[in-house]
Amino acid sequence: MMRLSVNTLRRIGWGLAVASVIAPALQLGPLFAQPPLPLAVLWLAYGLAAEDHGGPRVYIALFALGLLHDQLSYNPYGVFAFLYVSAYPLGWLAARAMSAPNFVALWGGFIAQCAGVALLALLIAPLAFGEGAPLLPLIQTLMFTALLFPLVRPFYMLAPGASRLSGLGGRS
Amino acid sequence: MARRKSLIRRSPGLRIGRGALVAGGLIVAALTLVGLQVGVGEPTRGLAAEGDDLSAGVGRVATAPARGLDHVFSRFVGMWTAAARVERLERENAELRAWQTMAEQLAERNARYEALLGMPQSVMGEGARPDQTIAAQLVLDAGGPFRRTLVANAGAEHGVSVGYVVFNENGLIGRVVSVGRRSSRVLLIDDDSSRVPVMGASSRVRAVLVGDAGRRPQLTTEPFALRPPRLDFIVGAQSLRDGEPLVTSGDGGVFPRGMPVGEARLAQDGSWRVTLLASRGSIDFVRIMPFTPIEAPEDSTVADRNAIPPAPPLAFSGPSSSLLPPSAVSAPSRPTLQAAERPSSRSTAAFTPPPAVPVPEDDEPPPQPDTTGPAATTPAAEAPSGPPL
Repeated sequence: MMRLSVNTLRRIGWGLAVASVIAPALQLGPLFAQPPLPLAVLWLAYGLAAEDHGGPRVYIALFALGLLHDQLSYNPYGVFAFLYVSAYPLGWLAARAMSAPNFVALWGGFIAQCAGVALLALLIAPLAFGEGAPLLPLIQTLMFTALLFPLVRPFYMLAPGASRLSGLGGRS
Repeated sequence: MARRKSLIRRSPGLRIGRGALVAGGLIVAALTLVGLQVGVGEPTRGLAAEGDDLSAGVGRVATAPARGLDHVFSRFVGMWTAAARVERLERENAELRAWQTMAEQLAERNARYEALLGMPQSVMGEGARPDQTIAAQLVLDAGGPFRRTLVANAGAEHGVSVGYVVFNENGLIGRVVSVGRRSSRVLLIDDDSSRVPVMGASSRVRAVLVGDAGRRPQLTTEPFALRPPRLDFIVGAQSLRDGEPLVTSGDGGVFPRGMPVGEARLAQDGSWRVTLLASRGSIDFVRIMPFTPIEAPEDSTVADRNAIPPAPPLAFSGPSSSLLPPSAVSAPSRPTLQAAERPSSRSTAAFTPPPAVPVPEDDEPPPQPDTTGPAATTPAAEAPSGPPL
């Protein structure tokens, strides 16, 4: 059985993240709307944070993906940019808080990151969309994203606990 | 190898690097972006419209293979059921012929009635200008968790403006909220911020269609309930039927009156939901229609050269005087015999004739009949609220 290299897996992960931003805008059917299409950028942010691949380029990439998502979704600019960039430190904290070298801890960390993103969305949505902003679809999307994480984990990080470095914004 | 720069040292164990500062800066920038757009009007969405132009072009190309495959797949599947469909279509065709005959008879009768009533063309058109519709194809679908919008590949260069009504062969889809040069953004009627005044096609019950972000739109009568209760409203609310077709009521002047929207459905929890006609099939080609709301009489006063002088109090009218309200005089062809035949015991004290009634010119829209209803001043007819569009 062919084993893909780490770089190839990472490239697929980045591709999934970009696709999750663009695909809802294309008329590809209800399966590609959000929900249920997951926010793969959160997987990306968590994978980078868990393995400490931070750095200006990563943050700028997350910010750019957020702006693109805002543009395509007709959101006020900055909503997804804020959520995606904030997902990195949230993921970093969650990955270190649940640092046991097993997959359950890793998954739990990602769920914690999604919960943090939901809380941030709860704060920013009234500012961006006014009172009564619909948050249920976003929460459903986050749930799908968290549920599917085990399937896509190899695209974003190595084996659990393989690379847990210290220091926010360490390697780039 | 040079050591990575550390801009801030808090303690020997914690180092805040350049990346963290960039992350913090970007978070602040994102929040600032959001804050700057709060309460900002449509013109500042120019950048978004430019982006829509770009993404519409890219999306059109990107979805071409999917569209082609979908077409091929549907044709392939259709071949298997062709015989059954032909039989069904033949049966339907036979039924439709009978309906066609009846429809032609009714249309002829309707034309005679309209001629008899002297109804102006603008009333039949109800503000809509069907001859000026713009055909477009939807190329992007903002299937995001917050918004329900679509991007059509027709923009300002094609004559599209903000506020234009978007519909397809099934019914109302939404309205244009942002216009680029070659694309326009359509806010769907099931978006959370969408409010569409509707009414039952047969019961004429007024309601407001409220988008519900992913669920079928909710039909709420709350805006009407805020007004002092009226008997006709209560009766109307009770007479709304499950499955009754809904059309736009035209209240508020955002949508023309009479556009099909969907069917009212009574949910298990007692609330009214709507099955949208536009959701019967995939939305692809649409028509974008300009709509000029009918101005209120006080906003479009005309010279009262044909005004009828105020009639004397009807109580003092002679036997040959018409008991119709003065507004009826503006339609000279309307027969008035029925007025003279009314029983004299009917109280006429309630008639307070207006000072003058202008005759509608050909190019002047007549007063909209339904603006006197309870929905005329409801907030439901306002443009979508929420974020700056």
